[in-house]
Amino acid sequence: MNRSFITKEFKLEGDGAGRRAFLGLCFLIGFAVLLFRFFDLQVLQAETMMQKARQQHEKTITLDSNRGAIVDRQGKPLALNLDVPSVYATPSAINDPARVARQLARVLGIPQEPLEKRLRAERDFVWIQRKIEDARFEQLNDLAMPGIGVAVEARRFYPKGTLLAHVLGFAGIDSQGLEGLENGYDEHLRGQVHRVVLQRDALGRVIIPENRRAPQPLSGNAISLTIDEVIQYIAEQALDQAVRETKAKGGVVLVMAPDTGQMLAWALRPTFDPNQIHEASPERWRNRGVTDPYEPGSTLKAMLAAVALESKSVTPETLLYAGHGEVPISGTVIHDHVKAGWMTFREAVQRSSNVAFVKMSWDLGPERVYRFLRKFGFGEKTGIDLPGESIGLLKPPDQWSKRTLPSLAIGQEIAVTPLQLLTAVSAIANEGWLMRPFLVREISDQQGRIVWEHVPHIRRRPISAETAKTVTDLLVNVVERGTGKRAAVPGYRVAGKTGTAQKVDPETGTYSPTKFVASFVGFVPAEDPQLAILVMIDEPQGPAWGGVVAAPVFRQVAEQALRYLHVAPGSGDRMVASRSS
Amino acid sequence: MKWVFLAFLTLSLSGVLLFYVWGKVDVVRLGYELDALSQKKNTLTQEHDRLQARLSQLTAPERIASEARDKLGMRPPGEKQVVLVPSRPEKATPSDDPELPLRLARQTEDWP
Repeated sequence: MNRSFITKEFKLEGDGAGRRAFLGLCFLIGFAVLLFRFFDLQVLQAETMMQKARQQHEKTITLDSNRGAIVDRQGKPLALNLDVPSVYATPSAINDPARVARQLARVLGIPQEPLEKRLRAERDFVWIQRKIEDARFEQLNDLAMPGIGVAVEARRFYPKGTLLAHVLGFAGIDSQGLEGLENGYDEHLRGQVHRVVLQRDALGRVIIPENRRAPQPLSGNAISLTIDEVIQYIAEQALDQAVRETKAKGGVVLVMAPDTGQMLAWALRPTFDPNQIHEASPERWRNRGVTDPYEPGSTLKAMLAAVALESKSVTPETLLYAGHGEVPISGTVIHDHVKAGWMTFREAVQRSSNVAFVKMSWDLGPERVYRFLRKFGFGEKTGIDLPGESIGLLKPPDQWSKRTLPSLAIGQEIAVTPLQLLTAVSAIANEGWLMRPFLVREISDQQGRIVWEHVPHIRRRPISAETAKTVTDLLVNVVERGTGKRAAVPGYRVAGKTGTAQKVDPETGTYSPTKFVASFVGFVPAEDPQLAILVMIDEPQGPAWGGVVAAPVFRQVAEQALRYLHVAPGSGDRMVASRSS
Repeated sequence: MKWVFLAFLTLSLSGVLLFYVWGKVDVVRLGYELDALSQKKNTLTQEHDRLQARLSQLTAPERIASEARDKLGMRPPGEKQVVLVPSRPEKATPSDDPELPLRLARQTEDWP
């Protein structure tokens, strides 16, 4: 029937030329429509189509950089990264936000109300909680809630807990350094976050294009410290014990290699755990070894003795009159703890005679005392590679009152950071050379190649080698016969100086009769110093003398650290273990 | 002859095209393999990091000290357990024990 109809139609159209024209017209129209559609897709909708194609074929991945590790001088990790789960939500895919919020709040231990509010947000993506613990993640997995997903992120982890916390500092939720070395060396530690566009197939698998390598995250550099984990532990243990036994408010123990300025230990109390940073107040984060200056008291006399000897104002055998333990100063009186008359300069240092040092400072004069104290690095930053270092307080002589010079002679009217004091004493140990202290030994890249190395830096030489040697002898005398006997380490010659400084009461603005800072600073072995150690105990209860409270901590740290470093006892003795108990 | 040449040319071209396509397909296949291996590497790296963190915790001086003290009963040598011996002993008198100082001094040589 159809066939006859077509035949009829053709017959109706007339001859073959007409049919050809008709067919040609049809093709023409067809091609015109195709051409228009082609133009529409390729030109008019080009942008939209390209975007759609990109969405289907291309995949943008963010390569999170790993923050570089921090290791001690033996390569033992102190800060590293762990991949941990972070929970996010796709609110549009959640049917019952109230129920989901209730379940999530229970598992994650977060308030339900603000969570529900976030789940009701008109957004495609919201973080619920980032970097959660494994146990919570497993509970969350059991729930298997639609619209709730888990992404893997790198979390900074400090495997040794509180060890070296103030120096390491910590990194924030987005792996940005916030405190300590994490902050100071952030640009080295932080890798580069970069996004890479890759082609993918219909199944969503990544196609690595020709002539291109598989994308790799650009991790941050690793930092190797001068700190030794074991000496750090020794220092922290000794400090903990001292703070506990004396019921002190806090304390500091710093250990330095005096010939290079390398810091070997940096212990502060109270402390915090950088893994649980939200549990500690910012007050605890502060690195008081460099941020908080204090009056050094008699420990400053080590440097003042060096000034007097370098100026040829005295010799160790010069006789000084200690005024029977009293010297009047502009309306007040400075006392000695033990009254004495004439004494040699050696004995004045040994007994830490305030009167003798006051009289000696008058001989030296303000300009000379100020100039030498500046040479020893007081009133300026040490230049250590830590953020937030204080310069302390050392006023120039034109701002001094009549009481300033004698006050300086006993370590008052000057404020120093524990690091400044240790660096100055290290200069005496180091034949007079003042070094710049540092904490980072080297920086290496992802492949382990060293990209930067710290070279010890000499700042200046405040005193000659001869003076340094004489002061060392005087300081050895302090430990062997004077106020620092409890710092003596059997088998080694120890040089050091005790200090007991009254603290200023902020309420009255005067020196408190009950609050003290007990300190001891010294180095060992005196003939070839390997360790310079500062101990500062803040507000100990009971006896607060530096020689009683701080000196034993010095001994404890020095004894164990010397044994650990295999430093042989002095030329006179060898140490052996006895079988008897 | 002409047909033979044309057939040979066609076959040659087809061969070249097939070789080209095979190469392309192989690159894509290797790309998939690379992607899979990359993911495996990431998983292993994560595991390595976790183990390193654990190792680091286990070898912390604090833990070693507590294990030595609490489980093995070790403690630092007391004052009476450390004896200082002159490395160059004064001239021995007949009453001195001729063996003791030298023997102890020799022992120290073996110490690390």
